[in-house]
Amino acid sequence: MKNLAWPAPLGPVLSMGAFFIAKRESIQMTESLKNIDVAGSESARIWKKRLTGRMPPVWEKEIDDYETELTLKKQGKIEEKVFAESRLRRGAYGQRYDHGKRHDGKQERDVGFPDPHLTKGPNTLWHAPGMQRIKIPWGGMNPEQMEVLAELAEEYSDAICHVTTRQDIQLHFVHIEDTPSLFRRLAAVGITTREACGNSVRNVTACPYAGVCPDETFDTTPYADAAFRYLLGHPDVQDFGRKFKIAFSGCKDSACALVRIHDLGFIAAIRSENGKTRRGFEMYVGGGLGAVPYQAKLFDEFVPEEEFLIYAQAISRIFARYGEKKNRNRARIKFLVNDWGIEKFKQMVLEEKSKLKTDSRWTDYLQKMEQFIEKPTKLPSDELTVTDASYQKWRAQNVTAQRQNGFFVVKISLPLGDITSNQMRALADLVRKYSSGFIRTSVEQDLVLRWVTGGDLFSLYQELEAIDLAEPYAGSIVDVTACPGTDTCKLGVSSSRGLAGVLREHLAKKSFEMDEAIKNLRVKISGCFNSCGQQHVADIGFYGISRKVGAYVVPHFQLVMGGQTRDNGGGYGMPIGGIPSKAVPKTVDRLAEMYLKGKQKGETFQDYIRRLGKVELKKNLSDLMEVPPYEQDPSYYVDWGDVREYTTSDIGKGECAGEIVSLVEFGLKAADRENFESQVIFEKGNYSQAAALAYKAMVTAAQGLIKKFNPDVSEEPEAVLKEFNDRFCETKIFYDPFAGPKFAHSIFAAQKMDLTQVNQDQTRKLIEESSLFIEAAYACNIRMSMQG
Amino acid sequence: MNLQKINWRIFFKDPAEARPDDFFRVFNTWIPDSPEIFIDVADYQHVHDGPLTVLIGHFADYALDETDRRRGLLYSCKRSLEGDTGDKIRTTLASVLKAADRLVKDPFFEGRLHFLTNELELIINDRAIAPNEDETFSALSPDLNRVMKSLYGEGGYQFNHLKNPKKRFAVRIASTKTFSLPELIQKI
Repeated sequence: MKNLAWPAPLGPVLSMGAFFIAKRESIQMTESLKNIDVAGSESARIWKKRLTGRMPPVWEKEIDDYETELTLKKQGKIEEKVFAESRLRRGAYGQRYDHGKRHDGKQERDVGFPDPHLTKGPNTLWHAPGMQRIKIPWGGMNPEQMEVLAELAEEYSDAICHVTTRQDIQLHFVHIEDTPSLFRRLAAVGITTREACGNSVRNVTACPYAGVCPDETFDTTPYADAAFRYLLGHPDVQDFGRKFKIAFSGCKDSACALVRIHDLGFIAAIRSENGKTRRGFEMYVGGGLGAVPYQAKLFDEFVPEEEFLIYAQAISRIFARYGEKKNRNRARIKFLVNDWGIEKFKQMVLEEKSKLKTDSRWTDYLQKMEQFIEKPTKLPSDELTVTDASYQKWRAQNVTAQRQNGFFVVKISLPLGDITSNQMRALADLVRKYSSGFIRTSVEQDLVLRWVTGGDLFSLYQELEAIDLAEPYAGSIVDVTACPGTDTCKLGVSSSRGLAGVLREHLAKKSFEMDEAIKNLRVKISGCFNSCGQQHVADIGFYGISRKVGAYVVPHFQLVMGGQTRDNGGGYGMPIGGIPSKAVPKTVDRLAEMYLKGKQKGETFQDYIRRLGKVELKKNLSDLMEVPPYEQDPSYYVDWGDVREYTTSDIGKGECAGEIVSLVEFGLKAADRENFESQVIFEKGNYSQAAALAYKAMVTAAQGLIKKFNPDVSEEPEAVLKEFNDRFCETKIFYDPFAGPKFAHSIFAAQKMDLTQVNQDQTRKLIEESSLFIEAAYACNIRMSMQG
Repeated sequence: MNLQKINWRIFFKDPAEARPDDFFRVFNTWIPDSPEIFIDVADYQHVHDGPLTVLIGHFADYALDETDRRRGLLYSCKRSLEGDTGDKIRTTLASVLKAADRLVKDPFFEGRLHFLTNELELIINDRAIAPNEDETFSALSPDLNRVMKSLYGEGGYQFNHLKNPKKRFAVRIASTKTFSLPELIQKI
């Protein structure tokens, strides 16, 4: 594979920097401005001088433009929102506390950043450190790129590279003024951060076993790369209302690429025509997790390889033209596909496709396919006989045979997706020594080495062990996936990484006594309902929520069961109930014990959970859902990975928790119960009854909130909704600080639905929305309590 | 050479006593009451050969660190420093020594924490300004010598330039003399 270290020249792209500057007539682009060095540091000047001419010209120009924008923003000459979108499109995110405040467990305090009036976006202080997302298309990296990432993590971050659930690398605590140098150093080794965030095409992901998997139809790597290059900066992907994620899988059944949770997904397919085999893709559109998950719909059973980029472009144009722009919460393509139905969507795309002007790049990549054929650097060889017990455990869990005889795939389990700079550098050397010269990231936040010979496995193991990268947990229940959560994410509700770290340690101790069926379950955790941890497709999933217990707010996780990673993320789980964060490890233990005791012969974990049913399941976990009074166990009131009291209310602080149960809390509990019952009815296939109950649960939650102001609130749904609108929506009290009116809209949308005529899909979504509405009501109650 | 991003490491006498959970707890107490700007504490005790617990600051980070398999306190200056090279070396070294002294005196550790005061490591966390080459060492040595002389006395120390070209410029300073942290702080 020759094309990784230096990308092919890109086609015509819209320079966002030039675009924004051109929009502002008041700004005169002078020669001197073009050469402004924003960081003003000697280091930044050296990198700029050293790397000029060593980057792809288009990328170099974009970074120069971005640097100019940075300077202009610092001088107050670019609007806040415009600069925010500009930096986001280069992967430079905000991070927790970047509004300059932090709650220390007792009170909210100013962090004290200098220049508090200088901002890099709405409510985002200039000097607050941010997160830098770095696109790694199809997860592929070469050793030179790994070494640069290690250096950047040391010099601009905290010496940690974090692998994300979409095969990116993220660095945290990065200062905005370091970003131009960081971008240049990446670009010089063929990596871009362009469109790593923002409303555009995000990282194009692919199965990390592509090209070596025994089950794949064909290697999707060149296609994923072609999609990345063609769409990067393409004018047709610049006007989306929301992000757009693309994935490629070589097979239909596995869990490696999770195509069906994506906005646009491709599964390799072949077809025989006139005695010849044609390559193409089963194409899916309109999937997505987020607050309300949607399964992608089958668009076409076979899109020929020479047409898949045309389809991608046509779909992009339709999404840009008809996708929601004003309401961010309904702006993903899944809503458009759902609103139109797949047939209308397909018709619109086909019409658009017929109007596109021919572009040679649609098929140019087909001439370069050979560049992506990885070639081993060594001859295949047989495995050595090794009796070392630790090696055998690692071999059994982390190594699988490739399609090519004598070669193996080695998975490296990264705890919480993290790897230090020193480890990354050492691993780069092992990539040179043992593989074909490339490594891949995976959606399970791990790394994958390929083309390791049988004869090298033991020595590779020894060298991995020497750098602490030989933990025998890849793809097991111990290998917990987690988003950043409250550690660094502005939206985090509970500590997903804290919990993941504790669970990993907890499960590792028992992993070798575990039943095989338990051992390979997938646990995935998100810090909030936005699903970056992909909990909907986990066997055991969690997402962060909070609950008010007396005068305290207690960190919880919503347990989500019944999802599946196999079949490309082919099934989504449903919420079971809120578990206090500190009870989650016991909950996982309980679920495992229940299965081992109660399973029938040959019954899988998922079949067992299905047979048990939600009611029985919840009953078995009910004691774990209780929060002990503060005086009995204050540890429940502090999240994992934290020492601060989670949050405290000024009202009644120090009073015995559990004594004060308000009318509001009674109402919310009742809503919770109704929502749960709606799920049970849903499972029995009575959709209209389930939908009606899900809607009722929302009304009950709204009614509960109203009781704070009016204990005599009406029992009539129409009257409840009117009062809810007046008291909570007009005043924006109910609006989520980040999601805005999203959850409020869902109750009014449900009010207009004909619940007697709902299908399975609509009912499932309504139950999800009901669940989220209730969570939002809980959060609203907490906010109101804290404000007194 | 306009040195910025100066890092220092000072190592523990008994590394087992320097536990990440303890540092996580203690660093959190530094956030509200410190004249420095501190933002949060990051927990990385699940990884190896790098930071374990990091107190993230605006001007500087402080970390319980195990890079290169040695557990120590790492001070990482992140923003621009004033003065000449000698001033910058002196200022940053004073910061790490004071932080080490604060940790030693923290009642939470109950006197269990001790530092090796006869060994220091200087890292320049900027490959553009300070490539890990002999030239950088030659350029830096006079100023570093002046500071170390004031600390350990004439002939009381040795420099070892850590020459791995893939790693940042670093110098290990070993002294034949041992002083207490307060004594070193007074000398600096």
